[in-house]
Amino acid sequence: MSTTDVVAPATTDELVAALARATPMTRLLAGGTDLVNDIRRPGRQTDLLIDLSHMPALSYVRHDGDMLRVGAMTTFTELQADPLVHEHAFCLERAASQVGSAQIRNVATIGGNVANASPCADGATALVALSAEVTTLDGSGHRATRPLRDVLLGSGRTALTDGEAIVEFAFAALGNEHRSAFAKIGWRTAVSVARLSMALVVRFDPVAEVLSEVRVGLGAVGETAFRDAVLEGLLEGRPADEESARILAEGCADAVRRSIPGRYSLPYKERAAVGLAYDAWNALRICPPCEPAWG
Amino acid sequence: MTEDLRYVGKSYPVHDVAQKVTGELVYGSDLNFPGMLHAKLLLSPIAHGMVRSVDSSRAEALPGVIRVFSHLNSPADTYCRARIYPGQECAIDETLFSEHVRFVGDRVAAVVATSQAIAEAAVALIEVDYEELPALLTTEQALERADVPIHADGNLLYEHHIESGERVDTSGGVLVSSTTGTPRVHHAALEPHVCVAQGHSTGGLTVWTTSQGVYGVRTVIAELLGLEYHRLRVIKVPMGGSFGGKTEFILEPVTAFLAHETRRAVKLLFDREECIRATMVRPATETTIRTACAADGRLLDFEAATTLDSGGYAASTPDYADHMCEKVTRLYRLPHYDHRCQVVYTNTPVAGAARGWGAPEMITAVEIHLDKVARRLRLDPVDLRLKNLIQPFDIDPVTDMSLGDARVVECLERGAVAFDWTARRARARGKGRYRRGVGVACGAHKNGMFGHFPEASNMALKMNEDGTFELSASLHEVGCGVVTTMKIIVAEVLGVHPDLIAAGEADTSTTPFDYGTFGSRMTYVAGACAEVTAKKLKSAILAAAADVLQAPVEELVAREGVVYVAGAEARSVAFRDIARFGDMKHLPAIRAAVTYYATSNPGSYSVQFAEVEVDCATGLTAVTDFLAVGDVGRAINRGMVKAQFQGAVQMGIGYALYEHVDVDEAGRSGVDGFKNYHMVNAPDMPDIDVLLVEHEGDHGPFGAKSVGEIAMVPTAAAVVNAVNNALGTELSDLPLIPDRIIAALAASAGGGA
Repeated sequence: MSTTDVVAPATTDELVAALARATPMTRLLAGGTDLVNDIRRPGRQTDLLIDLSHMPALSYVRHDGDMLRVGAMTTFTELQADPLVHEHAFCLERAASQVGSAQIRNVATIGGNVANASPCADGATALVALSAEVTTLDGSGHRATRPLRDVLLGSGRTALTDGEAIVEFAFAALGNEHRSAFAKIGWRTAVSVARLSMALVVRFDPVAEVLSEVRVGLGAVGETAFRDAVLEGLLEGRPADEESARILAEGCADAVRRSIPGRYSLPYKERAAVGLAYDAWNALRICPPCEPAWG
Repeated sequence: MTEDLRYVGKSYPVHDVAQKVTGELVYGSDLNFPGMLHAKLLLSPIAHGMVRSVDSSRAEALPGVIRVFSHLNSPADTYCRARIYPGQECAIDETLFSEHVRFVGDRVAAVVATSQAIAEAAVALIEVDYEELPALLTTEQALERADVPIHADGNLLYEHHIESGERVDTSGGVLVSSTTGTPRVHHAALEPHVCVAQGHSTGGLTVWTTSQGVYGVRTVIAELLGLEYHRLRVIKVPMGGSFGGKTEFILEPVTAFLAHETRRAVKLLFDREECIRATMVRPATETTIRTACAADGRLLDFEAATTLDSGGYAASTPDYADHMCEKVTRLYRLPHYDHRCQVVYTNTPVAGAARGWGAPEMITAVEIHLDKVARRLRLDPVDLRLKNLIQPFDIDPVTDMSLGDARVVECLERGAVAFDWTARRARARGKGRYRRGVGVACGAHKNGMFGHFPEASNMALKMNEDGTFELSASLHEVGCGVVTTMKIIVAEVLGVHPDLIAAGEADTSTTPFDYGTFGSRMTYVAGACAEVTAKKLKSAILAAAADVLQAPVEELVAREGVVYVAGAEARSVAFRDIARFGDMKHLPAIRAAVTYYATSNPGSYSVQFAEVEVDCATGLTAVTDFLAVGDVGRAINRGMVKAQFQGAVQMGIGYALYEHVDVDEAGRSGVDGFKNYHMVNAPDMPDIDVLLVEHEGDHGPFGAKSVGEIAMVPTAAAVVNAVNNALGTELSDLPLIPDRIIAALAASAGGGA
């Protein structure tokens, strides 16, 4: 019978020491809502479990110049209620509020959501649209920062090495001229993984009254959340009108067709993508600030 | 009678609620015995094939492993998991371990070890070589491939044909045909399946089970293992839900065998994935209905053909088929009714008992069909049904029995008013992304098994030395409050509070024979037995009181545990003093034992109304309002009766919109847990109004009829009919998952945002 060693570092030094012991069979416990099920599967062997829940230093949201920094162990409940996230990363707030159930959101963390690398991870979809960077720490105490898109490789696959822990996400805080939104289609209203998700970030120039800096993250339509440049290009420079909404919706259906050609779920998803895009577009209306008037 | 009721009709919690919320209650999986062993099953990873070899040497070498069993070292005798009394006719096709594996999840081998972890590790070390056979995953495939028999007698397991009445002239009538598919679903009881058995050094055996019928467990195990019945004790332990999924004996025979062989205590506990794959599912059915109607909506002819997917073993599905043919004439007056039902083996999970026993499957098809008829005739669905529903005391032409004081018409009429049906039906469905619709469906079910079995119940009741009472009955609490129900009935008869009555659950060593809690028989049959038993005991109390008070028994009245002389109430004696009077002179005689035989099997009815909003862009359906009306005769425990309807609606909405256990081309189920097996959860549940129609015209205690199964019979059809009303579609392939709704809208080119 295999045994599992459990360590619960409380300081960065202890965390580095724990990470230094990591092997390919080491797992990081960052909430556990997926991991606990996974490590109990037959055939799974875990030699070392590093429990990050005693690391308060990894739980924060703070403004740093133009950047918003989010600690990896910040729970979805915390993200959902955070005033900085509300003001500067509304799509992340919306995504956080739709993860699982209240019980899951109380323990599941944004770092765990990304590291678990589910194609339908709501947090990852929002962070992709926010062009987030990931900072990691390893067993030698080395910190590295790279774009999130370089970390997410596929379903259940990341570029993280053994003993490399995500410690922080950082992205440009959205300003007064930006709006963002998140929408998701699951099997039911709540406590459902996404069958399709979209995070939308735009800048709305109040003088020219056109959209720019459009970023669209799509989830659950491929191996991992991704930004779709074609879709983004369709909206660039357009007014915030119903025609733009229609273009986004049709472009979203196209993006789904490009992403999962031949997949059995395509006939459903290409049609549902239209509804998803409208949901995301309409949610831009409720994004703070509510002035200048939108659409 | 009703105005005098002191306890019946009020609301009480289930008897063990305090133990449940404090965590004190000991469930099957909590049981622990000195030296107890743990079993883990090796389940077939393939859908169909022969086991060529089993090499358990590496597993047996693992420290802590006691024994490994497979078909090589276990009885080859077959049994039926659904048999409830000795000699009962049933399809006997199952062995403890299979050489011929018939579905993904079939039992191939078992490890018994000193810990759960060791047993799990050892199972992974067993090497099995399979010769694969073609996997027949649909009833069509199974019927086509007679050259690939899943069982020796072929893949057509059973056929049943019912015809009643005479064909009438249908010329000039409207002919409508429909085909409805109902899905294979998981019962989804919160507690997984578990069984604990203790093999005694004397050769005897004790089994602790979360079964719905311990006497059935005893007969199946005793005959399989060659044990005399008095050396085999089966005890019902508290369970966390069943919904029919624990009615049949799935873990009990194999656990008993392992304990008997090792002469140790053995626990076998399934996880959720095993429960989904390897216990039992509600059978998938497909029913084609052809009707002929007069222009005014009267049904002239009704023909149905049903195919039921039994999965890898028969379980109770032949009986299920019989019952599917006994639902329609309980509900509608039909001049001519013809129903053919075939049951087919496939290489898919075993199908069997599920709440409603064929009624939800059949009634769903009937009620979806009737809405199609209403559309053809341009009749309101309520009006169409009112023209055809049975009336109180109609004779069911299929069973030749009275339907009793059947109040389905009243349910429909009162429900339509309460739901504001006419106005809501006339309201615009909407043309945009979100569309609203309303639907109605009627349902019929039974009250016990009279007509099929010698339906009876046994109980004994005694008064204690202090004037409290103990009921001895083989009760099986499966979550529907049967223990509390029996206490309330006894309390009402004796005139004492239900808290003064103790009642326990079934134990073959100490409680008298009873089939168990299923078949909608508890309140109507066992409850009547409790009423008769309590009346008999009350007579004994009054006889003793007559002696104490020196008054004629006819002049005595009992109230709140005291017997009075009518008109001279100063002359009284408390129950407890009857016991003490004259050195316990009377107490030894104050006991009663009754065998009660049922003599009727009336219909229980429910009519349900659903309002839905369908998102045409995503295909997601929200049930926005719901009314369940029930003809229950008399509510014994009012809160529990309403809760039965509310829970049933949750289950029925899932049946209509979400739940299905599909298998892939290899016969493997795509769902393995609640992460991907979606049930309706709280955020998606509508408010549910429950309206009870109470007439007490039948033979149940205080007029009560069954509720647990009828409550979910019409639910799915009401929801599907509402969706079809919203979209102008004729969807009839359940569940209506978003993909199917979007595909239907795309096909009709009326959808989109």
